[in-house]
Amino acid sequence: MSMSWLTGWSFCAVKGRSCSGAAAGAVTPPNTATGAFWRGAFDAIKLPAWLLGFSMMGIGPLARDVHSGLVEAALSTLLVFAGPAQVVYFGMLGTGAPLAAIAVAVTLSAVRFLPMTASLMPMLRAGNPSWGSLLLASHLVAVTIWVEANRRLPYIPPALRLSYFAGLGGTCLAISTIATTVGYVVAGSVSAAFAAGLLFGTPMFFTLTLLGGARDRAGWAALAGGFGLSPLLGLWLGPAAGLLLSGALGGSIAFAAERRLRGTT
Amino acid sequence: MLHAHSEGGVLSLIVLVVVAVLPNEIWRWAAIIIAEHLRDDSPFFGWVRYIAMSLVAGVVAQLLWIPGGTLADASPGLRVAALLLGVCAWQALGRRIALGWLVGVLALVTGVSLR
Repeated sequence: MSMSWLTGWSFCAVKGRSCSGAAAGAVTPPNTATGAFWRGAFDAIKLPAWLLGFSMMGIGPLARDVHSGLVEAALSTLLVFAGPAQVVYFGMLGTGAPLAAIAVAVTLSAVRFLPMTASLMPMLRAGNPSWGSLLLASHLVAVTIWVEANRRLPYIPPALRLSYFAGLGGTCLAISTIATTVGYVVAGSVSAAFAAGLLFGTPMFFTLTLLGGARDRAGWAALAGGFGLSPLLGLWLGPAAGLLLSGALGGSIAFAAERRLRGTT
Repeated sequence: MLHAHSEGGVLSLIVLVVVAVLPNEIWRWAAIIIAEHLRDDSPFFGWVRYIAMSLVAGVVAQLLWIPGGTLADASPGLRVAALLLGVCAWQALGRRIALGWLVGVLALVTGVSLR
């Protein structure tokens, strides 16, 4: 069976007129774990860490609105590191929902991490890392980081991929935590237009990265399915459940179609 | 150094861990446990990859059509127009993500300011 679907959907769109590896592979790959870590940190600083930071900045005012503390807001980014879960958490705290209901809503919003983290595993465990370091690395899986890691990791030597990922994700996590803190402090003093622009930065980034990265017809089908279904299902079932169902449907249909086209059913 | 707004102090941090951190983190851990016994060439990984792609596209669509916070102040037409403008700029300016991103975001900020 072809292994191409493991690495075939690699993003290479930043500066990427050609997707033949020129984008992320033009620079000499790192050759030590430390080098890989810093390369990841550097790639994060180039854009994704700021985008994630901007979106995590919005958690600060939200937490403040519901009278949560600064430490709680910052720790929620450091320890949860998932925008939707944090929005659900602080939003529901504000409405006085029972804690059990909040936990259920949070866990529903987080199911997406299962396929996202799992799909990165073949690359992240290539250097036979310990169980503990994989658990730590999994905390760094977020949509922005997942998108960036898929684009970059294929060009990093397999044994160094976890180190690279730690640098990439760790930098995003650090900047996001600082951003939430800043957002909490400056809440209310930012203009509405500016705040809307910051929130809009995330879908804008995902759209451009997805457009540049989808390589095969099945990939496009998965994107179209998710894009078309999630708002409809979201209005019907609520955003979290709608997102999950649209992802499961869109992804499974694309996968089945891809297998059929390859004749490997 | 708990902020004056904090109502529960340490208790609120325990609530954060039990109600937000753990229910969120178990899915990241579950992925490692499930993947552990699977070979790298298992079809499972291709399947979850397409699901993840579909999920990311779904996140974009939801942020665009049913946004929260101040982004809801921008009309749906403005959000879509800004997104399309960003995509066109990205295409026209040599597919540079940072440039397309900047054009799209500035378009939205301008649109909201002009209201």
